[in-house]
Amino acid sequence: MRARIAAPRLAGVALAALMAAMPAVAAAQGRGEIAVIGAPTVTSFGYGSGAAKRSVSQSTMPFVVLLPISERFSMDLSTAFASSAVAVNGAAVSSISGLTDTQVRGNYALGESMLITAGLNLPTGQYLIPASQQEAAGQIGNDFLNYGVSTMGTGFALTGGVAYARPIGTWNLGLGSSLRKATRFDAFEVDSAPLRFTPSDELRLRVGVDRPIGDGQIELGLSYSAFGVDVADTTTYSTGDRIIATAGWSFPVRGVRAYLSAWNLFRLAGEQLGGPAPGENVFNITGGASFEVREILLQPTAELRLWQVDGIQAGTLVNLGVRARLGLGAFSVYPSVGLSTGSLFSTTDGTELSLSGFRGSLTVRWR
Amino acid sequence: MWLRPLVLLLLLLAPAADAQRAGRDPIARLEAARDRSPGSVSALRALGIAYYKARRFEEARTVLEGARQRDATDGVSALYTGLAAEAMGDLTAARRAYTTYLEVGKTAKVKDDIQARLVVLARNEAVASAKAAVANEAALTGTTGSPLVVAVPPLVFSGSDSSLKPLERGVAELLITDLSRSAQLTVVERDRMQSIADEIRLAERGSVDSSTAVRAGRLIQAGTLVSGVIVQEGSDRLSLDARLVAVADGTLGTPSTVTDALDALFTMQKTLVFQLFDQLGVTLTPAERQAIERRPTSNLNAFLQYSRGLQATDDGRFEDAARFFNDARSLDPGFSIAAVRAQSTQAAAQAAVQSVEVAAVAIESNLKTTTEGAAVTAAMTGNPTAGSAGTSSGSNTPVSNTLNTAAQSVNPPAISVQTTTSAAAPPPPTTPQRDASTSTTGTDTPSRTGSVTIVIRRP
Repeated sequence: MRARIAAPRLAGVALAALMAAMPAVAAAQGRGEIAVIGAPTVTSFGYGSGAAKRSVSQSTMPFVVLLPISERFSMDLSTAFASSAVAVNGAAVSSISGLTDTQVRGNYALGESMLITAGLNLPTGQYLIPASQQEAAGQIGNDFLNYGVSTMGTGFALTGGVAYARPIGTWNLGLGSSLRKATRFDAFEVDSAPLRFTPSDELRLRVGVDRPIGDGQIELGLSYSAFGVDVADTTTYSTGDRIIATAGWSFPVRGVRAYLSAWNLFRLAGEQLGGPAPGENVFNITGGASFEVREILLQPTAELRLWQVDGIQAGTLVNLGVRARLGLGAFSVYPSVGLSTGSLFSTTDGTELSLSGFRGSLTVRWR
Repeated sequence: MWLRPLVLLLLLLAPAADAQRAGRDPIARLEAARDRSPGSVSALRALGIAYYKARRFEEARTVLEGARQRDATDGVSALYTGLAAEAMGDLTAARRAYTTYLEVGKTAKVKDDIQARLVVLARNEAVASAKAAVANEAALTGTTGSPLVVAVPPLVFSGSDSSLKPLERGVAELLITDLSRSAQLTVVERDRMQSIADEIRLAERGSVDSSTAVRAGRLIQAGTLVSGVIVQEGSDRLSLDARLVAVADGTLGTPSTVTDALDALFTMQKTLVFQLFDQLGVTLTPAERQAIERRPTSNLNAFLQYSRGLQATDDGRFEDAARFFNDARSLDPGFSIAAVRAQSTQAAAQAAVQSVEVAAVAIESNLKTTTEGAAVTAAMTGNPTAGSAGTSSGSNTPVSNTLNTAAQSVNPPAISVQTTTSAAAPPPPTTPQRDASTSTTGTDTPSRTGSVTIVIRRP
């Protein structure tokens, strides 16, 4: 059953208009400038053991179209089909499948230093999710495990922002800010009635710097996302503001481009069900290399991720993966596989559960 | 109160105004990047490619040569130097640059294209060189090369079995190959010699006299000519006759003659070439002698087909030539030079009918979606550093990268699909959008119980 959502008709019309306009844009711009990307991906994490062993698996088929309309203006459209399931001891206890929301973004460059960005979230995803699907829909949103599709629907929303960059000495400084205006939507079905959800607006601020170092490059960034108060039916919630720090350093070593990157997501304490919701922190560091063997680009990576809830260790994860790129005429193919191992910890008694996971994808890009 | 921040903001924005104006034109942007970092290989490469695309070939060559001087392993710079030089008609420079690309380039399909292009280029270059030599013949009169610069024109066949006539070119090539083994000699390439002979023939409107070869030798600045004859004796015997001719005065050397059964052709050729070395006064090292004694094939039929391939190549019939070389390879799978020629001639058959522009488009098309192609794409957008072109270069990050990163951070994609076309490190993940409903209800936390209950208090 299709949920009652804000401006669904408008969203449908906008999506149809964009899809109809694409061939004309393609003809005007030359087919070579447009890119279409499909990326079937399988992700699965399992934790615990014995009869209590749980797994959360997700299969997705993201679809992205990149449209460079002109030298100044570019757009992209993305959506995905996702199927997620939670199983206990091998038996499915919750699952959800379907299309996700469709996102249309546009960037307009004002000269070389300034860029206006806008986004439209069209509610083509899953709403009014029944009880049997809620666990699967929720588990994929975990920031620590970082599933490829983290939400099945967030309602109709508009994002508008501006980015600015300029050199300062040997550094480049980048600034950005945006406001995301969301509308209410029927997220779940609770007690046979829709649970009307009204997410708060989100204000994002970003500051970043980068500069060359030798033949390499270093990048640092800090983003702050401030959220207001969400409303579910008549109850108010606060999920806590988010601070995200990123750092990256790439450098050549004997013809191989090596890199180190890290990000840290800090979610401030909020309010949940009338009580305080603890803050959480996810820290991730990645080391990798990029090199060519014949004409195949290979990018092996090793990643360490740490999760804390309210200052208490909640999880550790090690991801090992390799990604390749092969050119096949107008197509680029990016197969990648990764294995994960780690632990989840109870934040109340410190009980440890072993965690393992797998991720595989085959991204195909046309042009 | 608000005036001060506004003034500060304007001061911050002012220096960017010039950059914005330059930013509209990718070439202006790349020139600005080059001026900021004149030693940056990536900046020079990107600017050179952009010049080439704008058909500013001379500027492209200058800038790309600068990139190559700084990084001799930069294949893309070598490739575009070749394309620009060929577009300007400088075939020699194009050949050199393409040859460099074959050594340091990374894209196999482009290398195949270049191999084919080189065959056509060598032929065109030889023809152009021959035309220039004939046009300047008067100036060359009286100047001859060293006696150790040797040219071998096709031998002359005399006999009733016309199927053996292609041996004129086949045996000549065997002689050229063997004479080239000596470090003491400089042997004129077969294509160059043939082009000069063809050009003289054209200039003389088809009438060729006995002095044509000597004229050709003079024009090509050879000091010694090997003049040879193949005489068919009966149905299955051949006689190979060769003598040295001094190009300076046409003096003939002592003839060397070898006669044997047709099946012993390769043995006869080796005997003849050792006699020629003696007459040239060349002492061979054991290694050179050993190399000369090696035979590319022992299959006479395969060699005959190969010789027909050479004839067809000289006539510009590349498709026929490819067929003959393939036949030779089929008859003797170990005949490696036949396989090489089959491949290059087949490609040349395609390349020969292509204009320079069409060939360039085909080459660039094969670059797409490769690491090297990423450098070209970057240049077209005025980005001097995106796309590493397979080298370790890459500094002077343009502000456009910073700008895009900032925009991605404040308006992140809902679905993160990594599809960078460069060899550079993948960017750090963008901050995902919050899933407000699951964050609020807490259902995004891995549960330890068998089920998750959403508790929403209703009023």
